[in-house]
Amino acid sequence: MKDVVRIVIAMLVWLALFSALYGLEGVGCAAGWQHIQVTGATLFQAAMTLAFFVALLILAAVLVGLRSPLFRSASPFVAHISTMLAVAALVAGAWTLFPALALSHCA
Amino acid sequence: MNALARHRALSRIWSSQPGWRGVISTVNHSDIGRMFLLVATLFFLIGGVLAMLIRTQLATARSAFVAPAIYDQIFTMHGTVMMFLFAIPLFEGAAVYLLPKLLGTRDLAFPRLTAYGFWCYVFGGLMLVFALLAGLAPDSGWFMYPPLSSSAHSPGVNADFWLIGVTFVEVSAIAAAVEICVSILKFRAPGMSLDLMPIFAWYALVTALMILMGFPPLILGSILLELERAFGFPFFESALGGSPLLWQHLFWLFGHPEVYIIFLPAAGVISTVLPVMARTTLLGYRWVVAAAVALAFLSFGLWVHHMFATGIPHMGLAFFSAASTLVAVPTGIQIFAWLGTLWKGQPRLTLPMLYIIGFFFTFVIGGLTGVMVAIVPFDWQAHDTAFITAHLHYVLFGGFVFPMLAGLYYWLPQLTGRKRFFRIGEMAFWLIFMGFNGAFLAMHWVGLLGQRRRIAWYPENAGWTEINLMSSISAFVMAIGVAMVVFDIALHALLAIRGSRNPWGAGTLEWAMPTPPAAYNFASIPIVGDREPLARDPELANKIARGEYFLGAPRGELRETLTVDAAGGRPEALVIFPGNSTLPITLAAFTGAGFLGALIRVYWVIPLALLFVVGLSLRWGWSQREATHTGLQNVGRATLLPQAIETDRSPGWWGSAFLLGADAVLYGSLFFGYAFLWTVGPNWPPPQWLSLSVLELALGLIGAAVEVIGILLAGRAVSRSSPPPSLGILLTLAGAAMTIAALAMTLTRAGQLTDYAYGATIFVMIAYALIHAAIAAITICSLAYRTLRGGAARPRTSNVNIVRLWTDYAAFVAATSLIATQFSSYLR
Amino acid sequence: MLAGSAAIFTLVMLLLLIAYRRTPAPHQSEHRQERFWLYGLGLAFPLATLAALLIYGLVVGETLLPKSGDDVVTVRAEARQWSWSFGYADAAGLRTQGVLHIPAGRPVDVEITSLDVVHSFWAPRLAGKLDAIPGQVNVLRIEVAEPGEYQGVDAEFSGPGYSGDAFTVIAHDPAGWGAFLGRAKE
Repeated sequence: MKDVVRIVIAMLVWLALFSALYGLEGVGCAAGWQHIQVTGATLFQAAMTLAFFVALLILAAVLVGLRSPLFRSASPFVAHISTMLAVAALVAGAWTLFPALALSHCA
Repeated sequence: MNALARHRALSRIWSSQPGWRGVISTVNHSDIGRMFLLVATLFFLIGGVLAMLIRTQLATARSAFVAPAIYDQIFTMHGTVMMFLFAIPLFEGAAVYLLPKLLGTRDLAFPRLTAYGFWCYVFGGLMLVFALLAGLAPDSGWFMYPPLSSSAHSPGVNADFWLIGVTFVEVSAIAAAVEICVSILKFRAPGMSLDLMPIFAWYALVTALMILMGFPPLILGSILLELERAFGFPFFESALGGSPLLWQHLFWLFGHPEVYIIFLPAAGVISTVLPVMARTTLLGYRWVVAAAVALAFLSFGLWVHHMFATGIPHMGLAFFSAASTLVAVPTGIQIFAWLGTLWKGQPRLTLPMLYIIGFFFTFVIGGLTGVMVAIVPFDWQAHDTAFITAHLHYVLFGGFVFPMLAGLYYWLPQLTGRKRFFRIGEMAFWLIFMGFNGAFLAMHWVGLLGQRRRIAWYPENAGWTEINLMSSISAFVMAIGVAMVVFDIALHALLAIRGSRNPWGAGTLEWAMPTPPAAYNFASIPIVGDREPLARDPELANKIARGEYFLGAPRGELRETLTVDAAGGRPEALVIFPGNSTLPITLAAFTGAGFLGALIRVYWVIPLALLFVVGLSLRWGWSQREATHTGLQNVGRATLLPQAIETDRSPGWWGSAFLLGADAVLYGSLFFGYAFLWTVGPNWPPPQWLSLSVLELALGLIGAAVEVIGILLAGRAVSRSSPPPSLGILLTLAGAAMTIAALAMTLTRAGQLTDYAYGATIFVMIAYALIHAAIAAITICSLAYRTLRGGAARPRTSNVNIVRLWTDYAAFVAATSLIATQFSSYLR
Repeated sequence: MLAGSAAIFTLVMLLLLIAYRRTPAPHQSEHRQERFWLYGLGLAFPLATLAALLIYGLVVGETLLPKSGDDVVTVRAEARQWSWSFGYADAAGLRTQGVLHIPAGRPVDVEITSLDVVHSFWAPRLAGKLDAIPGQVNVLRIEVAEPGEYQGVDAEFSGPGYSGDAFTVIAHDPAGWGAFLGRAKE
């Protein structure tokens, strides 16, 4: 069972973060964060940017964690697959969430 | 004991009863798998006839073939039948039939659950067929958008048939998914570690996990919409604080993963069949496994791409547009792994391979148009036109029907032990292939010219007439091809020409048995040390038949198999399966009676049916064959193993865990709906809030805590075997009673607020918690009953652990739902 | 996009065909094959193509968004089963049934909503679809260069009358637009 968790955990975290950022975008727009200024940017921009980097940090931590002796699977096969999927999750994080940095807000 | 005597003894133990009694009482996976495949095929033919009616209607401009009111039922039912009654059940049938044979075991984890799922599917399907024949079929499109499907705009019973019939069928999908997960993880041949599993098992595992995550949002959506239709709970009514978009989110949260739930098993078939046809092994096994897992998860991040035109902010769309392009990468990895496999080996041009080539041709086109519609500005034009219809048929017919036909012809000799004689299959392939591409290439074209999907007629001056006529003619050519496949299979069944045992020279275990397979699959359970055990040891089949491996000596009348540890494949326990039983079909009938009561709005039927369902479920749990011998058992090859029910985590624990996982997704979707209406729903805040009641909150939270502590104590007492776990059980029961009281009080107050979406939502949340508190109470009572009876019935650690899953979950749900609702008036 | 797709499709079909035509190379290591087929064709190739396509799509999407400007004209489209009714910010009280009047050469914001079920506003030659959803107003930015008549339809299935649910958009030159608004004031 632990090995199954090792295999699915990275992509599951990606899915959670992806949904969280989409939710944050919805909440931010509904609450009017795009109209609140904080030091040169809008609160919305600041929140989305921060969330983007936190998300990537978490995904990187999952990758490092799965490779560390503490959580690494004893089975070379599972260790390999879990690493592949952790890398995939990190790439997916950067790929799917970069609009948080670049696109216009709430329009 | 020689091989023949062993065969006779095992056949007597495992066979179903002869004749009709056998059909209704069999729990054998081969029987049920075949029945699943047969019924799913019948629904495919029904869906196909509906498709032909659609193409007849569209063949000419301003067609008067059927009126729009009928036409709407036809296309709605075509989509519904193909998605819910054909594609998913066909996967279930293939998995049910094949998995134990591929994994080297004698049956699935819960044989009676397999049968129960099958009968739920049949009864639910019959409801929809009845609706179709009676002219009462759903007519709001297969994705049933409210308010069109709400009672104001669909006052008849049509939409109820969809909501209730489809939900009933989904019960069967959930049952099959739980079954498949537990079977793949625990019921394998000794030595088969995760990396030695046949690739189809990986795909089936991923698909089953996706069903557990993907179906609950739709089940929730259907319940909410039915509550709105029947009792006026306004979840989707914007004037009363609901939102029509909530349905779209819940529907597509299911609907997009659904596409991959359909594609992945087909990809599993290709990954199995294609290497055999190329006389080699699959290139990049690890890559393919990783790609399948990645694809499964990415597909849950695509649902909004069906909603690009609903006015969601561009940044939100961009997330989903990006995810929709990215999903092409793991798909590409699989395509190129298959092409690389063909290059690695020496491909043969057999009939299954023809269908796989058909798959490559159509699916790649479907994938490429899929990337096109992932791009937001393109989709704004293509959305809801015939281009989308064409795209989705290229993906689903190309990605599912072609591979499944390849699989059909590949496994047909295994299923029947016969070989084909006439070459009808090849002719049929060319008709299907040419017909399909003619029909749907044309639809891309006419879609780009502006033809919308779901129109009942178009004007003469639109310039679409010739294209549509060509499309319709091709569709009929395709239908003739499908009819020829059916004819071919019928001939195959009638003309008995014995085939050889392993005609393709495959290496997986389903070919290491006599064909057609015996009810017990393997005379002894083999030891596996290779991904293709039969290729490594051609003598394997004979050694299995001679009983050289595990459980080669049948004992009494017991249906026995082994479980292994999930990752490494070390033998762990001996499982004794239940025998033939009419309990599954009876339980499915009473479940159906409950659904029927909701459909015809005779609500007193529901509690009555529920009473029978609970009673039969308890009997189900009790009639689990108790161990006649306790302690370690000899399973052959000088190995002693405990019985599964005497281990800490029995198969029942695993099944409960996966079922609760799906249940938790449903609860999570409910929270999503609550948060969605709160932030995005129009006409919020509500006129009236639920006020905080300290009594209810304290009672519920303390009750939940007591429940958790109580079952912990009970578990400790049982593992130390003395004294009896009475204190723990009483505490748990008291805790459950307290949560029930608290939730019932909250529910009564929420019941006065349900004419607004806010109140209706918290009502459902509390009702959900209350139902789970009641289930927890029933499970504790069964534990108490075991304790009172004592002796062989006394509770074991495995029993307590299962009950503990349900009580802990009920406590968690009670606490979280009370907190989320009681404080809501402070969050405004 | 079509040419790129055709090229990829041709590539896959060629690879499939060659698999049947060639004699397999003896003893190529599995690792080298994985590198070519999976890292190269499976991973690098789609990632590069898709990245380019995605960014292009998002940039185009951004330019289609309504930006605030001085000369934006606002109109309102209300869908119902099965007809469209239009209102005009510049002429309060003016309503037209089944025909939307707009000025050519100026950006127009169409505020879209529905009075009953979900519909979708689609004038193919002017812009993409945007749904008409009860309880919600979606804004579609359109801009027409040439005066003339354009066809529009309901593009989300809305019940038995869906097939015939259409409307017309008439784009006026400045004089015609003035006259249209003036007619309302009389």
